[in-house]
Amino acid sequence: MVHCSPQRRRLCSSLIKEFFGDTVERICSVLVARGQQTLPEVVHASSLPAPTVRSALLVLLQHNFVVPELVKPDADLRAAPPPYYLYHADTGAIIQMLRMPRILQHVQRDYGGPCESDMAMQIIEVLLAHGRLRLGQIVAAVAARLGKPEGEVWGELHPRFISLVNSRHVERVPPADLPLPKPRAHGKPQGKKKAEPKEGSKEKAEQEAEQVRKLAQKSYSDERFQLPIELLFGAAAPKAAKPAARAKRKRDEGGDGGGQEPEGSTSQPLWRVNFEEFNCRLRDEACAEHIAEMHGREPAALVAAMLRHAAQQPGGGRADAEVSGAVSAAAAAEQLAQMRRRQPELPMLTINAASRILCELAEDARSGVKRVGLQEAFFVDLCAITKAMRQMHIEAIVRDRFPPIGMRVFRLLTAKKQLEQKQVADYAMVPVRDARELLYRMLRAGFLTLQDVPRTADHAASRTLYTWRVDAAAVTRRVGEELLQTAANLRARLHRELTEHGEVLARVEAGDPVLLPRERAEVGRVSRMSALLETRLIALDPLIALFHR
Amino acid sequence: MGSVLEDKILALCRQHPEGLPEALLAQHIPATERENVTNSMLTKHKLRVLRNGKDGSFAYQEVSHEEANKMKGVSAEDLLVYQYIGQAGNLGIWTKDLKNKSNLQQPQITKILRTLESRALVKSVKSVINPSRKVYMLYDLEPARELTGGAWYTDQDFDAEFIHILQQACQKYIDNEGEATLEEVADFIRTKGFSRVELRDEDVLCILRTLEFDGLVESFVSDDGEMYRPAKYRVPKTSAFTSIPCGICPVINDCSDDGVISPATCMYYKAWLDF
Repeated sequence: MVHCSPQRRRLCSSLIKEFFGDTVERICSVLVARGQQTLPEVVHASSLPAPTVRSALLVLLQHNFVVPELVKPDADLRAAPPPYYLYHADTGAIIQMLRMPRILQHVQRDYGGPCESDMAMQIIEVLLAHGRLRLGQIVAAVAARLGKPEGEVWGELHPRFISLVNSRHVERVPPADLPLPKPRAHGKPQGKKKAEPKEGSKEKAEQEAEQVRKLAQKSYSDERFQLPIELLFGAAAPKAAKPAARAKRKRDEGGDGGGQEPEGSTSQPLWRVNFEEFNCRLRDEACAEHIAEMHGREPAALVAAMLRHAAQQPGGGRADAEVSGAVSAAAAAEQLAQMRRRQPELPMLTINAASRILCELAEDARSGVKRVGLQEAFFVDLCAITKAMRQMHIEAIVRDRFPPIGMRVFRLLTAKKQLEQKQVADYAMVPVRDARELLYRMLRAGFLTLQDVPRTADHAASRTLYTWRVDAAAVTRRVGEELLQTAANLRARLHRELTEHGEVLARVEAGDPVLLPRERAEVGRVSRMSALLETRLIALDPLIALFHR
Repeated sequence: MGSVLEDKILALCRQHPEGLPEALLAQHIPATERENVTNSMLTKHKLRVLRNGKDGSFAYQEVSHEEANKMKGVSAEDLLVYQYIGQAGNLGIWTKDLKNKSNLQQPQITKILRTLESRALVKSVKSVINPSRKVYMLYDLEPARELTGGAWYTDQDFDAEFIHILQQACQKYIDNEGEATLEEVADFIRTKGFSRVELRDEDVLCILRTLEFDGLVESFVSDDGEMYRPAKYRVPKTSAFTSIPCGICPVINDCSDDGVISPATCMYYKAWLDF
């Protein structure tokens, strides 16, 4: 689970409250604030009636904002308690709600023509709105949106759904009893290989449990993007037994584990949007844009083609990958030619031209493109590009937030690691007094760190050197939290403006033709403000994604 | 007799302007003959005694006529202080250090310094490193760069405007040329006469380093050595974050939904949305 800061908690609460109301928000806040909880614990902590908590939890499970974990106590115990579920709030998935406009934009761009993209967008929109649905429910929901009969929609939806699953945009919902990945200690050194634990020992039991966990995860990853056979062979439209909402209600009565299948319906899997794939694609687009700014259009198109090609290979397209898979210049050129069919604005490059451009990029250590040994294959260092992008944005923030010499001092300390106040003033060529004021201002804002180097054991201030430095990890973390705070602030302001002018807006919505000129001006002003706030919120999302990767 | 010997000693001193060693003088004039003459010449400030730091031997040096006139009537204590000031060279010496070295009391040193200053033998200079400290050096010496701050200080004040002009000139030159070495940039700056003081290559290098940290130029190594060119990696001109009031808010850490500073009532937001 992701560490949950107050800023992240506030943004999650704000999003859940807007889309699902106060009760669901309360349950979500309990889970976010207290970590993993059982149902009775959530009931106790929220002080709400058990059925209400249960319903709210089911809403969160339906929308994939809460992840269930089945805990099976040791069966060997004489009086072993029954298995129970622990619920984790997935704050990353909640924050993904901010990304919905970009996801839809990406689908529209990726699926070419207006008809095609329309249906792909309908499927994704339906899944985003309902969280997880069976295919029949998707067909019914899309048909309801388009106002057409299900049979008519099925012909167009069927191939589009298959391509969305094949391109990993849509995935099967993991089973409710899928064990969560075991958390690993950060940077823990590999110890000596331990001897095989004895039969019946605790270590042996842990080892077996780990093997079961891996097996279950492998089983899910094998079927994650597997289409039902009847779908591949052009079966008729699956019947949505009940409308999505009714089906959900029925399922809620079945048990408290999300995604649990009622008896006899296992042939129809649940589907959801695969945010990991979208995040990967958006990250790859951001990397290509960065290359375009630094090196131009052709290198950027090649890098985009390399990333696309690498993602299509087995094991590629992972959100946490630090580098892409190796791609030859020929494969990149071929991929680019394929991409040109959908995006004719992309440049056309021969294999020789692609090879030359990639060699040039690989020679520039800062480009993020590297050569594999002495071969004619290249890979993209996603970690390095992401780091460079973050650094550039941090520098832009420093430039805009502090006096002009602020960025100079920040870059100086980033390059020189540790400097005393006098050295900072000398290198930056600023008066010592100005340097001192700026350094303390940047320290207070969290962009610099002060390190004391005592010359004597008593740590007396008069015999201590004080050096200034940039703690890159801390600055990245801080900017990331400020971005979440800003997103929550934008939403809070938008909410306030809409509430304040709610009366007149309600009249406009109701189609009241009699509006005074003052009221008309008020409506115009609120529309402009809400448009600005929403636009800025969408523009902020790429930065949130960059700093919370 | 005395006058003849004085002339002989002065002639020998002129042959050794760096200082006439005692041993060499002894070869020309026996100790018994010169003893009184040298003492008399020292009293009249026609000679000064130098001490060799290595072997502790003495040497004599002629004092110029003008200097001798200035030193006329100077007491032994004055002379002692004058010598310590002279030894400090163009870095100068602080009064506290003078007090420690000469073992004289502070009021006495102050009085002596006033005398020496009035006779234009020494001068006081303010250091840019410690502006509250006055250091003393011989009147004719040019203060060291460490004291004056070099080209970047005008009348003890840091000349930020001058540095800014030099930065602009260097950047413009590099932008126009595409690529340039340090020497080329330095030559350009010198020939254009931006500075009243002579700018060394190291001074221009300092300016180029600031341009690098500003993200305007970048250095790279070519066959001609280190060269400079306009920066390829430039910081974005706008940021999605700082175009929102929160991105540049000085009180973002004090902002909360139900606090005195809150996004719902934020003044910065009001000004931003009021278009």
